[in-house]
Amino acid sequence: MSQTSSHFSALERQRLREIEEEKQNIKQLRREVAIRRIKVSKAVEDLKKYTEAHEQKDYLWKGFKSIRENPFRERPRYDICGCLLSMLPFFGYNDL
Amino acid sequence: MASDGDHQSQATTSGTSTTIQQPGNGSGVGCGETDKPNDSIDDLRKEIERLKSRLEEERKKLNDVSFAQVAQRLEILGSLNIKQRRVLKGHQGKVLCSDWSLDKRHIVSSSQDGKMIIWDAFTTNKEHAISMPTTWVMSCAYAPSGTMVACGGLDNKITVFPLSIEDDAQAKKKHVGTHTSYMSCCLFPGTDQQILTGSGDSTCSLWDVECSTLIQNFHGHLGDVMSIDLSPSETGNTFVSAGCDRQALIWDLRTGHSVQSFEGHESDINSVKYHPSGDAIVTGSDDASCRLFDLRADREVAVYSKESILFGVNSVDFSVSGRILFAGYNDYTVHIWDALKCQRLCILYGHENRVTCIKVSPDGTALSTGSWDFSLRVNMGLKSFIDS
Repeated sequence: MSQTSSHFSALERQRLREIEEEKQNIKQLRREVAIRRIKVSKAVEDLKKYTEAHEQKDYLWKGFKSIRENPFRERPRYDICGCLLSMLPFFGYNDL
Repeated sequence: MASDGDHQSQATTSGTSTTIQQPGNGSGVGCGETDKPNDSIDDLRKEIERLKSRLEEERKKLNDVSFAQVAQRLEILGSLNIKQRRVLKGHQGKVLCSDWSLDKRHIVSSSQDGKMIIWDAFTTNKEHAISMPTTWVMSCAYAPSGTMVACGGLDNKITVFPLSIEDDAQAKKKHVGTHTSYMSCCLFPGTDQQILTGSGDSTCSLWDVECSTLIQNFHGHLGDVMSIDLSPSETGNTFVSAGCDRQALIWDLRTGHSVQSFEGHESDINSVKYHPSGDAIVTGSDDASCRLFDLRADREVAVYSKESILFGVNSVDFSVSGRILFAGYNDYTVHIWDALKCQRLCILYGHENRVTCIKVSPDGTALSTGSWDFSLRVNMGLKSFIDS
């Protein structure tokens, strides 16, 4: 093994390495060319549909419909009563 | 024209495969061969050019309509009413990364001061503070079970810390793996057993947490990897990575092969994120733009930029429906985009330095932002019922 490699000058070895790299690149590009594609119109339409199907759950966009949905309900910070109240939904008192 | 090209491709294909085999055979060392690789490397490069233009052609073919045309029929969104609810203060250095726990309440953040803090975002209390041996903890992640966090940075290592109330996560730390350069990003791919990391050594790696062994390496980037994200689709076997070589690569977790690549940015990509549908990715770059690439159309479909925006984007994330895109910029602001209409809806102010990390909470109720001003902020939507 060491004998064979000594036959190659550093330059040749580098050339072989480059060839190996380019070979990999070609394989990679072939894979990428071969993938199935769909039309942009269809792709964008699907993104739009996804958005429409999930918009009711998008609280950052639509806001909260009831105060209960907001896990961070506003109250004075460091208010112990408030903190306890915020825990109530966890214990089943949902309507407070 | 097309058939011509195909013929040519077959000719070159067989040509290259024979020339390639020669160096592969190895044993037939003969000096006469030195010329042949020289020839073939030119052939190979020609083939690469040809494949690249072919790829470009294929991608163009299906570009039948512009994104804006489809989005035209959508209602215009007004300005969003997003309000800052909590400020998390305690880091003594730039906040570099943060992650939500799946319990939608805890946040882990890491900082330039070498600290990682686990916050209760409800109460703004710090539940754990963990010191790392080096500064610049560039990445941190919450395990899906919520019982463990991982982090890494300039130490080149990925380290996990089990969290327990009996405290001292520090004592139970565990090194899972090491890169040959800084670790820029990490995540748990839907399980506590594995960690996926991206590094300045331009590779990504999948590690086994229990055995601290490398499961799979992902080679293909030509520069530092800055950001990774896991596909949200149920099969979940792909992830995306992006970085300083300005390209985003989609990977197959099992084979270690990259399956798609996307280019278009004019500078480093700092952040990449899947659309919640799993069919598209968005990237944020130092070139002051964000771009949307559709995986099934295999091309860039939208650019989010404005002439007045000059500063780089550090972090991007989608709201749960994918309609709203949040982007954190170097000019201390967070811009909120209508992802479908490519319009900027509003700007969030508040931070006093670069915004480095933006994360929408798992249920989409809150948006956390971290900044070089040492603080994190938690923002929420506010509308309808609460307003009235």
